[in-house]
Amino acid sequence: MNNRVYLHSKEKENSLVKLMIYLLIPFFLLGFYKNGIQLYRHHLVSIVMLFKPLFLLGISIFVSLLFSIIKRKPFVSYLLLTNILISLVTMPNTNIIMYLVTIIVINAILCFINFNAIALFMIILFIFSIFLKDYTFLNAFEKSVEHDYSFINYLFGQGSGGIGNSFFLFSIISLLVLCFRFSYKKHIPLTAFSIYYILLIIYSFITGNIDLDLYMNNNLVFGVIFIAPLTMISPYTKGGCYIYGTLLGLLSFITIFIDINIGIYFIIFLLSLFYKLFDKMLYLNNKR
Amino acid sequence: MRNLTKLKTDLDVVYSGNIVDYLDVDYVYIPMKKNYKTLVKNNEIVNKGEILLEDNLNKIVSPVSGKVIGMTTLNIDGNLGNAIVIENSFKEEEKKSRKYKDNKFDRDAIISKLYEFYFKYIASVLETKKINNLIISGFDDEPYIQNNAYVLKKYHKEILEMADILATSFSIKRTSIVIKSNNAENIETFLARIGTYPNIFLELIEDRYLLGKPFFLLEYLNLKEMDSFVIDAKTMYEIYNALKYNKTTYETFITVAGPSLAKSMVLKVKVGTIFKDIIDNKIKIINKKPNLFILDGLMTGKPCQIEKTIVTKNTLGLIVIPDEEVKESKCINCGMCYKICPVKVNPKRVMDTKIKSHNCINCGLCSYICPCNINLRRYLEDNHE
Repeated sequence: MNNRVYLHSKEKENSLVKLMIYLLIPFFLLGFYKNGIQLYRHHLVSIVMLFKPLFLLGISIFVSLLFSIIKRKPFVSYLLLTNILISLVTMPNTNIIMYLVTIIVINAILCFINFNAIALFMIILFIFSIFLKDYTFLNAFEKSVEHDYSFINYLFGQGSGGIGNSFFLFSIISLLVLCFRFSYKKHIPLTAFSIYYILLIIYSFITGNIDLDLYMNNNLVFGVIFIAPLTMISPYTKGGCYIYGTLLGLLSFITIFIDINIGIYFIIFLLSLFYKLFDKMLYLNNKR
Repeated sequence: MRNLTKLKTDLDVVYSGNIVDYLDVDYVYIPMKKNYKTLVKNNEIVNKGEILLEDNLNKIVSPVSGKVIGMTTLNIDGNLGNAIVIENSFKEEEKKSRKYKDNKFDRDAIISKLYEFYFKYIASVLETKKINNLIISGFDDEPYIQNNAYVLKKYHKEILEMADILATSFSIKRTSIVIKSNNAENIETFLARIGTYPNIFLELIEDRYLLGKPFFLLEYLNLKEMDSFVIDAKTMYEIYNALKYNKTTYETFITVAGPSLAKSMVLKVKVGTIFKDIIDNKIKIINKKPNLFILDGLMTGKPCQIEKTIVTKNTLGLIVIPDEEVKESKCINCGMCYKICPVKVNPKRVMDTKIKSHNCINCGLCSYICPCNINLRRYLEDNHE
């Protein structure tokens, strides 16, 4: 006899995915302006490469479509969101062929193992860029000029970051929007930010140095809001989210002494490997 | 206070305006119970109200007069069990019960009458507890089940009168009729009437799931369980009949609703009626494709075969929906089942580890919220068993 769920809420598997994709549109548009139009206007890229952000996004969507057909799963899913996020966080100087190969490999591995594909993608890209000696989160224009960004500059996306994740103001707006969604694991970013900024303020107080690039780091903020709480690879209990968020905030602070830009992806990847443990730890604690 | 959920109720369901009677049934089925002594035999003629089964404390009476024609296996409150089959003679010959000469409702008389008419739980609460707040709930928890709202609408005079009698006899400080704020018809009815009873108040509550459970309702109203008591409108009307007219209730109110029906309705039916008879005689099914019959509501109910399912005192109703395939997908670890649980059970953990959780109240919210359509209630139900 039919034993299905008879009454269902509006929350579907793809409803949060859809919302997140809508929220990513301004990031993409700013990325397109910053890493396409602006570079072309300064004669730093050709007319073809003006559309690089669009190409990367197109590749991500195409790969998602391909793998959704292979896996026989809906197109609008966490896979699509993951691939779109990859197209936004990738470094501005990423080679398109390398991007294509890496994203296919990552998606192929995802068929077998569940892991934080975005963070792993960035780690692979980082390793390649170290070998090629072109590791940077600055685009050609930012590299070519001396810059001293103000608070307002950072707010409207002038800080360093991925090809389409540097809209700081909209990251904060997105967090506010997502916090009102029942399905969003808001405890992760809120705890992580609390810990990170408390430690950073103490650090600034001790050293007397206020570095806006640390306070308004696009990779950190975007990663904590969009990548760390992705449902498949993060804890689901409130306690688990608090532990995960605390460690995320704490380790993020530690990486400011090394490199926060890529460090955040290492931390997210590392923590996502143990996400089940955070829920279990809490359970064992409760059982006692 | 707990953050209770407002359920999504967007099915196309049209209700008939009034309670529809369906009392002329050919057969009624009386569930046999463990450790009960059967007092009737095959082919024996029974009167309405005659005791069929009894144990030391309880008695089960016949809702019709007729002939005992055998026994059959049926779905009784979701479980299979045996039932006595009585063929209705339609004579409605009732065994005469003791009539009270006066209509005095003092505390002791009410308690003894409540015991006599099998409202044992209510009688014992009124006898042992000092009740300061009496709450009469005029709504049902389950979406599309409208029994209490309709009973409240039709029998509002009787319910108000009974509430006033109980309040006076038991020196209850505050008596409230609780209605959902979206039930405009009942609000209007009670606003027009309640002035006659200065000690009875009208309380409006939000349309939130689980407020039909006394514990959650009292918490919502900021009342203590110790000195408060919740009675639903249906029971209040039965108490009225028992106290005022010494009438045992042989009927109950059920809702038959759903998008597959031309008109959904609240019906007054004999206890022991088989659902197939109700559907054949009172309901028009408009969906020609296969339908699914859910006993007792979409949130906590179970699918049933109407040919084998009977109405009992506990039955809330039947929801008829198109039988569509809903695919379950793999858990995405979203944690919404855990977040929404009003008693903080971790359904995902129960599913993964098969470790029992004894706190589950079987409300079905985990299955309702799951974005992957996983019927988590299935795993938690195993715990109850």
